Amino acid sequence: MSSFLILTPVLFPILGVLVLLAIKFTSGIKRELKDKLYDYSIFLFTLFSFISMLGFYPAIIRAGEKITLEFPNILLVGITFQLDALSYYLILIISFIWTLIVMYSLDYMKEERSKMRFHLFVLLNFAACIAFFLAGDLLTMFLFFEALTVLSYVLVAHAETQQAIKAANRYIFLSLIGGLGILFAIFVIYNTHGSLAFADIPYITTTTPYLTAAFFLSIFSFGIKAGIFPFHIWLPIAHPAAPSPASAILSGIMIKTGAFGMIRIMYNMYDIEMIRDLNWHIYLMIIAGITIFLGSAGAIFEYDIKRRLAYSSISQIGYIMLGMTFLNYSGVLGNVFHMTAHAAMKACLFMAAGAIMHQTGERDLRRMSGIGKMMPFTMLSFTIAALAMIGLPPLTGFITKWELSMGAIQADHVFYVFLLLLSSLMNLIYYSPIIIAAFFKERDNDSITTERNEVSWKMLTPIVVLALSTFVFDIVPANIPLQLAEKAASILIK
Amino acid sequence: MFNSFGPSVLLLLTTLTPFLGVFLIYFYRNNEDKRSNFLIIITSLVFLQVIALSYLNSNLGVINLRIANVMDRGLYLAITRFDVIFALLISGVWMLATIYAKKYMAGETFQNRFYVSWLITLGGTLGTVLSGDLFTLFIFFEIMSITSYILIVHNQDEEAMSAAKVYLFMAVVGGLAILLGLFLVNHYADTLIFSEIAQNLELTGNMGYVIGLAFLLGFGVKAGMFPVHIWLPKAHPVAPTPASALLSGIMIKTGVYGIIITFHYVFSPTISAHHYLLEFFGQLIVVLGTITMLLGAVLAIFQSNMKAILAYSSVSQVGFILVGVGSAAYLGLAGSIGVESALYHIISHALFKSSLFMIVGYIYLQTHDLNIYHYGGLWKKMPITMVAFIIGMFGIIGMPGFNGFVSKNLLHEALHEAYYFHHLSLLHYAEVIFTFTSSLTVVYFSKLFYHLFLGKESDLTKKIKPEKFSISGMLPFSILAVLVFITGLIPDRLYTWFIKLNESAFTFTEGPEIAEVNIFTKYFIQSSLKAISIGLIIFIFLKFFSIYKIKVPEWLSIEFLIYKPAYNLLFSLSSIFLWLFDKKVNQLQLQAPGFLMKISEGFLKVFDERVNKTQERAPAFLMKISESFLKVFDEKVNNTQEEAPRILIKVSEWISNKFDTEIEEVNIEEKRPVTEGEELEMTDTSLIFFLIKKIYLQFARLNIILGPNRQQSSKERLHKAKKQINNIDSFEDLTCYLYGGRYEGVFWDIKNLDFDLYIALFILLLLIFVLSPVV
Repeated sequence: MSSFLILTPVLFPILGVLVLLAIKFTSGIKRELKDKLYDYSIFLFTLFSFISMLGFYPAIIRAGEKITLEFPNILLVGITFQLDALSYYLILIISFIWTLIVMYSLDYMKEERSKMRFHLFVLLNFAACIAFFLAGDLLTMFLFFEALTVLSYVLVAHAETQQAIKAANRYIFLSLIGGLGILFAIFVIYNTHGSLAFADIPYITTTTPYLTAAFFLSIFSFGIKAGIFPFHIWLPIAHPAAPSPASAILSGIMIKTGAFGMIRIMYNMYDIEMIRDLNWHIYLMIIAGITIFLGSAGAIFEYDIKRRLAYSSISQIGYIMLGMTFLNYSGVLGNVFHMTAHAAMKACLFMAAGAIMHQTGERDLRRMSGIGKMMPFTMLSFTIAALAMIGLPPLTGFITKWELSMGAIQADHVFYVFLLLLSSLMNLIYYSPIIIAAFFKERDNDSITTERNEVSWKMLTPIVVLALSTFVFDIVPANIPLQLAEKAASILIK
Repeated sequence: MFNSFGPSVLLLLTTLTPFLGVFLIYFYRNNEDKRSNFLIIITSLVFLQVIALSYLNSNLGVINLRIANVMDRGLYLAITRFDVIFALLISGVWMLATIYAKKYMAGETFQNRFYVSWLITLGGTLGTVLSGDLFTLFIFFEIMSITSYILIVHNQDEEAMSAAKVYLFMAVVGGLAILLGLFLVNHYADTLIFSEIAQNLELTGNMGYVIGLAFLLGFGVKAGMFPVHIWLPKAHPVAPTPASALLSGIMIKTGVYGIIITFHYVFSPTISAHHYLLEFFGQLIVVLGTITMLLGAVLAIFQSNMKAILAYSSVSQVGFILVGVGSAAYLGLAGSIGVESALYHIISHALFKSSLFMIVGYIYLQTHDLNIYHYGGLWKKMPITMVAFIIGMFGIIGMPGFNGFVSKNLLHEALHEAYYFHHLSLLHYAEVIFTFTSSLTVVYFSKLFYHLFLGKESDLTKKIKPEKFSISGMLPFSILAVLVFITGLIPDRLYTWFIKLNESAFTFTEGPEIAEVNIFTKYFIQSSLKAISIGLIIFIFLKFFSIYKIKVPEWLSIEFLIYKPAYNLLFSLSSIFLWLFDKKVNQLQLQAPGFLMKISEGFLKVFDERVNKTQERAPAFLMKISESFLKVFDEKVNNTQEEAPRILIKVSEWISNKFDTEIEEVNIEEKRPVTEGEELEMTDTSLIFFLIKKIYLQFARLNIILGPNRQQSSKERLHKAKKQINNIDSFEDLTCYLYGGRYEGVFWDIKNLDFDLYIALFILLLLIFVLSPVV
């Protein structure tokens, strides 16, 4: 099935950008009205993308179809878009989370400088991100990968301080190097197979040294974006440097693009039986293991709240990568599900951290005792999301942990179960002090907390909604995200 | 249809009622009295529901309910006869504790928070025992673990914070251990439903030991088993007393529940493949239980905080229960007495320990002091409390007629059975320690009782007003005290009502049942009284020397010896890892651009600057080349062309000179008058002479060009030579000119000798060439 309609979620944000510019250059509108129009159009055009995704539910999930769209003459080889269960699932959830983040950013950025630029680039990033997930071949993916890299630079460097620019520079250098690896893979694979498509039946069944190099280079290139060891170094600097909504986007969603690219390479281009025979997955598994432990270890020693969350993201991206390397259904399901579960949890945590910074201007964790009484709803949401991160039942993190561990046992790598459990414990070590200080410690001289001072409802709603989403789906009999994830995983591996 | 559906709905409602109650608290959040009453109603409702369920269970058998899709796998609730005891204890004691809390918590801060977690913990604890598979059990178990943190930390002072931190850490470690076991069981058995696990569990290698140890560790943390008991004596005393009563009386039993589940449902004695595991773990649990009971009792003796004494006593009593559980596992199919005596002691302990905690809390409420040495002579002021305390104490020390007497003697019987099973000497020592610990129980309770109620009235006691019966404060522990007494009197009824199990996992084919043990015989009464009197003697001895006031040094504790180093190890491991893989990699990668830049710089130096310089020089070079090219091909040509007319003129001059002068000369010679023959000869020879002169002139020219430079310019010399040669008019003169050396600097010159040699050689060769045909 082929339809132009699958580009609607990409076109809405672009339309939004045009509308924003039109409003900006229209004279004769009152200042207040203009601000309101900005806010509405930013929010609505993001929301439209999400709603337009809902429309594909019958075709993609019920009927199990795959919608493709080809532009054969662009860039010599032609670019393709496809919407299958995997990309549908990710786009649906991510556009939902993005809408919430946008809603949060309206009030968060109100006092900030150059907020117009920020909002424009958030919309552009959104478009590029969806297009990335829609990519039907490696070339298309590469195009939007680079576009995302460049566009998100603006978000990281937003504060324009020396630190932010340094962080953004490191980010863009590493990401661009990553782009080169993918380009290499494109050349090699196109040269040997004459196709770059993500096929349901993988077509690279034998390997040559060039194809081996292409595999690892492309995996690691996407890994740079995802923040796996040893290319994680940009992450704990860049994520905290960005404004909080951007951190939520970067940590929650942007690093998943890397993981998504890895899945496409591993399951839709290279044959997993060949990977299993050549033991390539073992190397990736070790890398993922190191990433998990490293992220958790790093987070323990950080006292800047956003840096701690950023390190936690490294650890969680290790979970995602680990699930992929077991090469069985449970592992892939854990991987796919955790991409969105982590997006929701981490977006919630970053927005809550941002809310604290917005109200107090403080990011040092040691000075936050008693903040639970100052911002009860924010901190309760933070607590729920953090407990979900630890993987306590009945929260989402537990389902991931369950699936990943079952994958590890089925793949006969019980060691990684221990690692996952150890990482849970370390998650507890670095999340529990925040929660305890927030709710069970009295205000002391050092702390910055004041009397009750909650953020506005526009900022609070997204935080609360995401926190609820970490357990509401688990305690009702229909876990919709998980069912979608099962559909998505089943097209990758039987 | 309705018959089977109705009880299931009730089961679901029972599980959900506490959670739903949480939302209703919101409406009473500002009214303390209404909230407390509401909570009493909710917990009573739960208790009634559980009673109804128990009744239904005894009539209908197992009631179960599967809730598909929740938490991905679906939940499975089931109430069996084994669960009934726990469910009744939990809901009943919880209700009494709620009534007690109304009095105790009055005026406390953070009551809403406390009661929310109170209800969620009730839901978690009840759900744990109402679960029908390991997955559901784990979920409710974790809910209970996490929310009871809030109960422990409630006071928010430093002691509570650190105790709660230790608790949280260990509870989560325990939860993770259970989770590990859960993963493995799920993988090997492919089911988690209690009644189906054992048949499907096919173990390979040492996996059975891993699973068993994981569960034992995980549930052992909650039960307070050695060596993971350390949180218990810290956390139980710091919690508000209603919570302590529940923690000590009820919640640690969920750990025991889990251990029993593990060794009867996961490793079933009815499956012969599991026997080696059960034997191993049976011994292990008995050993750990023995250590736990002895350790708890010994440490309880040295405490001065009354709640801490009770907390250590809980540790010790859990040891007793574990001995029963371990014996049951060890005995396998003959384990009936082990598990049933353990259940009996669980009931006994729940009743008397909750009662004792409430009593102690009630005393604390009057004085706000926990140190027993500050009290004395309370019997005058609080007689009813004292009676209740005595009943509870008689229960715990095993005084005949109270429930502890029955359950402890049954446990002893179970251990005895286990010893007779294989005559393992290890179990014999366990038996000895068992008896000794029973005496130690008497020691620390005598101490507690003596310092609280007997002796002189202290200043603190004098301040206490004589007690009046308060329903909320005193009714709960009074009820419990009565129950302690009743359950001690009717062991047979208790057995048939609750303890006799009928599930397949508890079908024991061999060995005695506890119904066969006649407990009220002289033998048992004698042994109990013996233990009590030994205990009293030890107490008097210790009291006389005040030994029990000694404080055990902190560094001796297992926490400082093992857990803190382990915790620190994790930290140092993390930091080393970070240093290695984060900082170093970071540095390396940060250096990489610098390195790259250096390489680039070097590369630039070689290939850029040089090339640059070369290229910069290239125009100049080109210009030079062009210049020289110009010089050669332009100036010279120019010059040549400029000179060309002049040369032409010169040539023409020369030609004109030559021919004109020659012609002139010829003309002059022709004009010369021929006078003599001599003159004629002269003229004859003159042409030859002229030619020779010309040849010599050319030679001279050659010589001048080729010869060494002189000071004179070649032109001048040529001119000179020309002049001289032209001036020679006779042949002799010419010869002289050649050989005579008169014409110095031209031909004949010592320095120019070689030239003459060439000429000589040339002439010689010429001669030879000319003459050769002749020769």
